[in-house]
Amino acid sequence: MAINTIICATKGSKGCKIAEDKAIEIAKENNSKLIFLYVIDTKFMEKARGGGGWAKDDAVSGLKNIGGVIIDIAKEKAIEMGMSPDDVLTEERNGDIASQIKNSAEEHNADLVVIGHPESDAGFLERHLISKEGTESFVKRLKEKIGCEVMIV
Amino acid sequence: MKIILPVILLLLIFSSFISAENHNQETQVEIPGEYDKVVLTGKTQSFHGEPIHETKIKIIVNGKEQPIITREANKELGTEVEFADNNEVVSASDGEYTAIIYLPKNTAEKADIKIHIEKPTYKSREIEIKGITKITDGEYIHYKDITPERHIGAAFYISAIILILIYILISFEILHRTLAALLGASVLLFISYVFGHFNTDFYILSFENAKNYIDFNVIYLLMGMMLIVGVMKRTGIFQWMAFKSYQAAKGDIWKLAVILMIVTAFVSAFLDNVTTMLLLTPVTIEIALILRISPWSLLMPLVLASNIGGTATLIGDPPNIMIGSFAKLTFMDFVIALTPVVIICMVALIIMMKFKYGKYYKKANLTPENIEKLLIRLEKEYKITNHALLNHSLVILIFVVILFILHGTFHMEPSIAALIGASLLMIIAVVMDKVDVAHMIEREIEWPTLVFFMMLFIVVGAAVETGLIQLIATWVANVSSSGLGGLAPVVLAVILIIWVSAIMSAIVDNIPFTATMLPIVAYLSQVIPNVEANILWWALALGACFGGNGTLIGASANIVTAGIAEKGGHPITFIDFMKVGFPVMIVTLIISTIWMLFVFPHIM
Repeated sequence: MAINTIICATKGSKGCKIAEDKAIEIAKENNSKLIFLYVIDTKFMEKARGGGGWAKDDAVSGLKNIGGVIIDIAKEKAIEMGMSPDDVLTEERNGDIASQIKNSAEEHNADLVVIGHPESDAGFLERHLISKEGTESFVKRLKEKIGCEVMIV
Repeated sequence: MKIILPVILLLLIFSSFISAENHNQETQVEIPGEYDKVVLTGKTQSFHGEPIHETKIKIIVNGKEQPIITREANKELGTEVEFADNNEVVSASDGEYTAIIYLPKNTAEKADIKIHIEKPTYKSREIEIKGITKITDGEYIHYKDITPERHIGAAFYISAIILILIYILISFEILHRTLAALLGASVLLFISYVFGHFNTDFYILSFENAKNYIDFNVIYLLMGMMLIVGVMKRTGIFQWMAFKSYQAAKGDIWKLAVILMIVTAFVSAFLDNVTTMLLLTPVTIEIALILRISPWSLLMPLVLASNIGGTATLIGDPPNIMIGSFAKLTFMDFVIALTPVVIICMVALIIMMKFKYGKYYKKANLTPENIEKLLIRLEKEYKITNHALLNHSLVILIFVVILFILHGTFHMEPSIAALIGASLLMIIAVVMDKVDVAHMIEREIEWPTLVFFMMLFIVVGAAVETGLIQLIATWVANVSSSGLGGLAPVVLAVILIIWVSAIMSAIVDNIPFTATMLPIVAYLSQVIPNVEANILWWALALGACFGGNGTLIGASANIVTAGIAEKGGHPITFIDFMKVGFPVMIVTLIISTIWMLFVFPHIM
């Protein structure tokens, strides 16, 4: 099966950097287009004072800037590793992570989605959020939802 | 089962009708042709002189309930005598009561007069009145201050269980904290009115009383400050300050960390810590990512500085707002008592951070090209978005701070300063930035937080009403007076309050904890000998605020910072946060204890 477009969802963590490397490697092997995706997810704000609804806009604009840096660094790395700048794209989306990866995959007609394992570098808050449904169940739901080949590194 | 429930309900309704019927029976009163007028007056108060309101008072004369006159006849106005319903009067909010009775002529001095007191959560009893004072012929008066004794009954246990349940629901995140407090307050009132209707043992507090426990000065002050921050953040000032800090540091990461710590502490002293961190964290992460250093090496000093800086003033942190309002302490009282110790703690933090991260900063990718690239990026992203609005906002903020400084002189609640500032700023924002007022009020005011505060005040008020808080306070007073380690009671109390408050605030939300501690510290300030210059209030403020640095969940600012950092690919574990935060908490508490015990008494 030809892999024309790969989406690598990243947040710049150690686990995600491994996924970035893997995605770059596959993209180079298959001459694919590689899209680094950062999803702005403000679910953690629910744990802030008052449910955090009052500050979601601030959190979104702050994360947008951070996301911009993360995907720019990933793009630089892909170019350094020999990919053509034209084949490396970046994208930022806002909302639920699984839904946004799915939307991006559909819009770009992606053949493969590469992501880091959600538990490999989760901190206290993310562990807390993931533990509510269990890591395996989260990964399974992600795979089912995205609807194309998903590689969890 | 299906039949039993409606039957019980019907019985309840029927019995309440009967009870209501009895209640509404009009008192049939005969006034003697010629009479002695006896005025019984005084206060219902606790052992320490605090007023006890809503105490029902009846007068028993020669073994019989006596009608109480609430208004005497006035021939000029043509008004008749008015009698109290159910032959009882109720003590006012300051504990004062007055009961006038008419007795047959020349019988007052020989009559066996007793005052019968009744109040839920207190023991009902009769007090014998001896030696009434004759004012004129046929007119007598007697002053009697009454100290009812506590009764530990159903109301006490219910209020205790509900308070503990709220702590559990909030700490284990079983329910949203606003909902937990709302549920607690509504259940307390429901039980008071429905169960209390049948058995006064279940009567915890009245609706009127519940309203009085809500400290609207705290609510309005929070609301005003939320709006002020809401307008100011539209100008981009906070992020711009972080960019300027980077520019001033000229590529020296340690210098950057110090400047950022000072800026964060200063901003947090005047504005909300959560907003400060929410706005400064993204730009800090960006700087760290581009310089290839761990964002936590900058974020940790920042968030710790934010919690320390917030302790410096009345408006810096919600516990301080609550303490200031409850104890009637002014903005300047806080500045004089706490700002110096906060500055010392900031110096200690900077030294500790130098040891922790000093070497690490040297690993940063600091090529001139990299520094310049970052500067260009930050300048583009974090600029002042509306200069005119910023200039006006700063003028209003200075005006508000001046009002805070002077609010004690004007005997004005600090919330008024915040509200006037918020109103003026909103007008400016509407004119200059076309702000949608409804949207602003809806989005910038943390309504769930304000509801949480209101409901929490009611729940703690119930614990005060039923004697639970009194019980805890008495226990703390006894421990303080135990002479443990040969320490004076005031010394022991200061140590206990600082350290227990800090450890509790590191584990549970410091807002309910402070709310619970307010009446306890008020009691301790009265009963412990040689408590001067509000020292126990300052101990509570230092403990509750500095405790937030102990753990990741100790302060909302920590949670927001950790959340953004996680989304920036740099998560932190509970233990990793504690490894840095806990020692800082311990050091700042040691400094606070030394300051409060050895320095503060000499400067106040």
